[in-house]
Amino acid sequence: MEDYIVRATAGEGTIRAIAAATTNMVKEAQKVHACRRLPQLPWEGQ
Amino acid sequence: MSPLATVALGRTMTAAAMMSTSLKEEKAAITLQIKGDGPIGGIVAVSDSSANIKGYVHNPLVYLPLNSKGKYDVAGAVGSGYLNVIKDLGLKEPYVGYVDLISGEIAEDITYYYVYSEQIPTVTALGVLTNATQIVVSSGGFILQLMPGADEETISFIENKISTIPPVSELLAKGRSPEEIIDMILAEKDVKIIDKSPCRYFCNCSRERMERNIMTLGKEEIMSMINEDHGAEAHCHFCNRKYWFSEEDLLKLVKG
Repeated sequence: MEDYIVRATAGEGTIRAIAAATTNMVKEAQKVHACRRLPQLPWEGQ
Repeated sequence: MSPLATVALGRTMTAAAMMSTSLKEEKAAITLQIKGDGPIGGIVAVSDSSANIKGYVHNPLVYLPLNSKGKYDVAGAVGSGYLNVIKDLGLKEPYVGYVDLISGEIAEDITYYYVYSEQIPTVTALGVLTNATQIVVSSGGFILQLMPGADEETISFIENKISTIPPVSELLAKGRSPEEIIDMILAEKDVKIIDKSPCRYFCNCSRERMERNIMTLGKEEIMSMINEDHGAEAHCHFCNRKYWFSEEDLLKLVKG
């Protein structure tokens, strides 16, 4: 399912509703931050 | 990033995405800052008015045992602290709403923000589901708000409905769409869909933006970076991109 947000009203305008599917967005965040490097150790890069 | 950090960030970004639908101006943005005394340190999520969302947590490797309900202990990771909701509407000063965290589970804190800071009775549900290999299976949420004219019957109706539906991440994992989730709760209240818009993870950092950030450090600090470090590396927390500024680059910034 693609990521999207839906806005709706109900109850003759007395209820406002917002719902979202954000699975791909959170997967992307997981991927982006999985790449965050830990501080380099003294013996690394030699 | 640990699964606990992913769940905490996912909930916060989902909230920011939904809250950004209230922004009218094209260049407006909403930032959620959660700062607690728990081991995650803090969570930041930013969304513009087109639902381009970015975020990070201070400690992405945070790990805690599951809570008593067998769920990721987001409240334990966040701890006690506060939630800032910053709405940059393109005016001189941004609007800043501040509330203490009441649970640290994020959804309850967003609800409390709306009730306390904007005086809007609200129900918020946020969920991120991961599988056994810690991969995100589903994520999403909903926000229901009572507008002027809502009576006691409407309030009880929503309270009763909410208590009967499964967690939102479970519904999404089973293939239910956001429209179907709204319909599950409000079908008897004549639902009208107003609009549907995409949302995505997107970082808009750039070298120019980093230059502006470095300039805010002041001439003295930049000169010390030139003399002591012979350059500077700027790191974007949202996408982990790195920008290297040589001595010459920094000198150009100092000279304007």
